[in-house]
Amino acid sequence: MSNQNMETEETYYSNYGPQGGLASGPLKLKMTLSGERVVAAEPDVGFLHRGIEKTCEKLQWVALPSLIEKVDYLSSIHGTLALSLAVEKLMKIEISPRAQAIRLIVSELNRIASHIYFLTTMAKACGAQTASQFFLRDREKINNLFEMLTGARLMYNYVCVGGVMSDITEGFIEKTHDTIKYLKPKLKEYDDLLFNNHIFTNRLKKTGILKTSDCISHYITGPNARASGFFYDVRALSPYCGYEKYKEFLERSIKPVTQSDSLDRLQQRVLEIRQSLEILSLEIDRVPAGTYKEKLSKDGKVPKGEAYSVVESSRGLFGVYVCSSGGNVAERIKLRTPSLSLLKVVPDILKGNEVSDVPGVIASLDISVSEIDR
Amino acid sequence: MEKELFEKIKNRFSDSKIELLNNTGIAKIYIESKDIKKILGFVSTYFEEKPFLETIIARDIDDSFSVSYIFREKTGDILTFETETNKKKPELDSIASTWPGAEVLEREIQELFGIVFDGKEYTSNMFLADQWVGKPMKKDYVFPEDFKGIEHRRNPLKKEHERP
Repeated sequence: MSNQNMETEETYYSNYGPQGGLASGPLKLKMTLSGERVVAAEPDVGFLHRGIEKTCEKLQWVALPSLIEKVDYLSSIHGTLALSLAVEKLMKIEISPRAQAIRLIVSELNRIASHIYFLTTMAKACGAQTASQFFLRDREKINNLFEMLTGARLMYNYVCVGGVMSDITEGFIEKTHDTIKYLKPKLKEYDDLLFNNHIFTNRLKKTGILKTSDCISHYITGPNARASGFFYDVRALSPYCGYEKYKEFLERSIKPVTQSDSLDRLQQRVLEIRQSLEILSLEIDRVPAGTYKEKLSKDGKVPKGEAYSVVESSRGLFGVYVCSSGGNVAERIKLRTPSLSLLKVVPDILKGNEVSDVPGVIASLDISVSEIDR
Repeated sequence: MEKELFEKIKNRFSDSKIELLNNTGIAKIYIESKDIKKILGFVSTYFEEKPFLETIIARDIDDSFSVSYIFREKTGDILTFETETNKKKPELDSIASTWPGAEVLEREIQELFGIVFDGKEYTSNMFLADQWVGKPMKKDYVFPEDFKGIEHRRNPLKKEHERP
C-alpha cells in the first residue's frame, strides 16, 4: 500500500502507551491506522508532570540540584551541571581545574551509562532480550563507579554549585581505567549483537526517518540530530568544563549520514560511547591537583540577576535559566530540555511506518518523557 | 554583537520602542509586544542562517508578564529578546510561522501562565490535566486542597503510631 492512497482506505484508531511504550516514561500516542500502517499519530504527554519549575521557586538554592536531576533521571549529572554553571555565573565563581576535570569525567560516564541503557531499550524494542541483558551487565560497571564516587547509582547529587560534593575516592582512577579497558572490547561485541545481526538491522533500516530540515526548524539537538546530519554539539561549539581540549576530536569523529533512520540513530549512540571512552581515557590521567569545591558564603544567598547555561546532555542541549532576586530562593527557574523539541516531529517520523516498527522508532529517538513533563 | 544588531534594528524600526538592557547578567534587546512579529521576522533574515530558537521564558513580574526569547546563532552565540504583556489581557503574537519549534513552547506558556498567542486559545491541556483550575506558574496561584475530591494533604498520624 503506498502512502498516497492510505488516506482513502478505511482507518481506525489505536492507542500506543502510555505505559510500556519504550520511551523512558509514560508517552501515549493516539494513532490512526490504515491496515498495518500509521496514517497519523498524535503524542499525548502530561502523565508525569511534577511541576518541578514551580517547586524550584519554593525551595532554597542548595536544595535545587537534587530536584533538577530528576528532570532526566538517566542523565542526572547533566541537569545538575547546567544548573551549577548558571548559578556560578550569577555568583561569579571560578571553578578549580580539578573540579572541572571531575565534572567532565562524571559527565562522560553518565553519557555512557545513558547510551548503554538506550541500547537495552532498543534491543527490547526489537525483541533481542538476550542482548538487552548484556548491555545492562555492562552498565553495572558504570553504576559501580558512581556508587564508589557518590554513594548512589542513579540520582547522584554530586555536581553542586562551586564544584563537586566530594573529591575522587581512593582507587577511583584505577577502577575507571579498568572499566574503560573492559568496555572498549565490548563495543566489538555490541557490533556483533546489533549491526552484524541482519534480523536486527533489517527491522530498523528505513524506519522513522528524521529529516535534517526538521532538526533545524524544530532545533532538535543531540545524537538524534547528529545522526540526521545536523551537527550541533555544545561540547564543541560552546565548550565548558574543559571540553575545549576535545573540540577538534568531537568535530572530527562525525559519522557520515546515510539514511537518517532508526538504525543511524543507534549507530550514532554506539559511536558516542566510543567517543566518550576516548575522552575519558585521556581525561582520567589529567586530573590536576587542587580543591574540588570552592568555599561559598554560608547564608545560601545568590546575588540578584539572571543567567543561562547550557550543557550537552545524553539527549541534546540541556539549558537552565535562573533568575534570582538576591535571596535564598530562586525567583524563576526555566529548563530547556532536548526531548520537548521532538514532540512535534514524532507524528511526521511515524507517518507511513508499519505498526510493528513503532516501538523501534520510538525507542530509537530516546525520548525522555520526564524531561517533557517536568 | 547585541549592540550591532540593536543599532540595526533601531535604525530599521525607528518608530518602535527598542532598548538594550544589560543590567541583569544577560544582555537583552527589549521590544514592545506589538512589534514582536516584525522585529523577530527581521532578525530571522538578518544573519546568513536563521538563528535557532532555543527557548521561550515567561516570568510573572508584579502586574505584567515578561517573555524572553533566547536564540542561538550557528556560531554558538546567544541572542535574547524581551517583551512584556499586560496581566489583565495577556496576549502576544506567535512566532511559530517563522520558528515552528515555538509552537510547543508557546503552548506550554499558555497552560502555565495563561498568555494567549495569536488569539488561539487551546481548549485542552497538553501538560496539565484537562480539569486543572488556574495557571500554576503565576505568583498568585493558590494551591488547591484537593483534585477531584482526593485530598492533597495526608491526614495526621494517629497518636498510637507516634514514637513514645
